[in-house]
Amino acid sequence: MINISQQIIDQMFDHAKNGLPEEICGYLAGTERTVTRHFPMTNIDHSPEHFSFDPAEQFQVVRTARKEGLVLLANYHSHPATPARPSQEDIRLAYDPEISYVIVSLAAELPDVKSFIIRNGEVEKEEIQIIQ
Amino acid sequence: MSTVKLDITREHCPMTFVKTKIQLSKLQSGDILEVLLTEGEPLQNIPRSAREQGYKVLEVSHVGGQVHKVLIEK
Repeated sequence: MINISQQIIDQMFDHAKNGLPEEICGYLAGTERTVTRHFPMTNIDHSPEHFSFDPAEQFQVVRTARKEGLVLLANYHSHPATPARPSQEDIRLAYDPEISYVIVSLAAELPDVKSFIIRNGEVEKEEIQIIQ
Repeated sequence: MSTVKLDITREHCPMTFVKTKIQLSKLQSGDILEVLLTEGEPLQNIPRSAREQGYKVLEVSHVGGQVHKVLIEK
């Protein structure tokens, strides 16, 4: 289970909407499975179907999080037109077994957010506990 | 053609990737990046990611203990 505040979820939805028609991406950091910091980042693929992080931006964000005593809990990306489920490419590129994979979908009228644990190609849905 | 060395044995994901990608982006075509990394996720994923990004993985060899060496050509 991962705890995310409604405020941060709304920030991710805004990030996704502002990024349309492209997928957007970012990191979520915090401590003990509770997200306290949201890092919107750049999708250098600039594509509606896939994303890549900018390595220099990743370096800065991971360093900032460490300086603030935070841990990288998840990366997130958006699906502008498809449900909040990992695609085959999402699964293939899920290299880090330590983090959660959060997907924001704008496919339906109401935005949706889901979290997954992906290890060695195996996908497991993870509960998001929304906190105030 | 030059060989650049990168030690990521003390790094964890995603920094293993980030530092490798940043170093590769600085190389000239034909240059070689010699990466020292540890078993587990880095050894499993760095060569795979390099190939997927279109780089040539010339060699993956065991250096000693948990440390392995990967030669990547740009």
